[in-house]
Amino acid sequence: MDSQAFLKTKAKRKKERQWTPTNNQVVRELLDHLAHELAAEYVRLIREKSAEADEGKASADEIVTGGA
Amino acid sequence: MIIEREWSLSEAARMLGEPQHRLIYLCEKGVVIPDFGEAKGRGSSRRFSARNILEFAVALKLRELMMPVTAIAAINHVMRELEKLVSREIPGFSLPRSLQKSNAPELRIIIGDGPKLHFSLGLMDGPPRIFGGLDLTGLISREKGGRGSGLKKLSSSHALTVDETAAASKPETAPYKARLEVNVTAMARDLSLKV
Repeated sequence: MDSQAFLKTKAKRKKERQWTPTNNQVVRELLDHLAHELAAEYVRLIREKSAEADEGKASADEIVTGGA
Repeated sequence: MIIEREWSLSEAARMLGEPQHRLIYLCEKGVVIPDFGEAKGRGSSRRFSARNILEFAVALKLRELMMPVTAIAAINHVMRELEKLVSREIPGFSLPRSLQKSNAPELRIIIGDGPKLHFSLGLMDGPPRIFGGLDLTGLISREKGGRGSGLKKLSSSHALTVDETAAASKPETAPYKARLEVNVTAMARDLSLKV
């Protein structure tokens, strides 16, 4: 095998080795969509939790003010 | 300004208690993409972010459970995108640090019969919601059988959309014969990342 053919094979093997599902557009779109749904839920949960914490703080303040 | 800590390959291997060659394998397979420089030849070195360390931890756990690398690469891609999208809405959000907080939602990876990939997300005191349902058959057969065929399947009949599947076969209600679950939040909490 001459050196050029060897390099070509080597490059081809390297490319094969680096193949990941995200190289495929269809798969990538599905995975991105999944990430999008997860992110929206994550943000919703965090906001819900911080709203609960704010409410709790506000009612604690009311109790303190009422007591005084 | 937050300066992100970087880890070298040997530091990452030491932290995870794994030999370096396992981490190199995961990088070469595209499972973990070093955030701070990819090795491009003699003298260059890979540098990893905290998120990369979590990706390694998840990947090594899934490898231990015999999951193929292509499926793990897909899972890590979802986690990378998740971080990107959430940080747009919640400034300062980053993996794994935001998952280490006591009030952080529980993120789990679930592989059910099929095999199908799901993620679950929920607070400690509430029921989790299930997302996904991506059939991994295509990804696995691509890895085993080489070129194309598996992916063709995946991109047509096997690839259900996220919404359809989430409604049709939720792992907690479906009569699964087997189910594999990895708690990403717990793994993030176990990492002792010295910043």
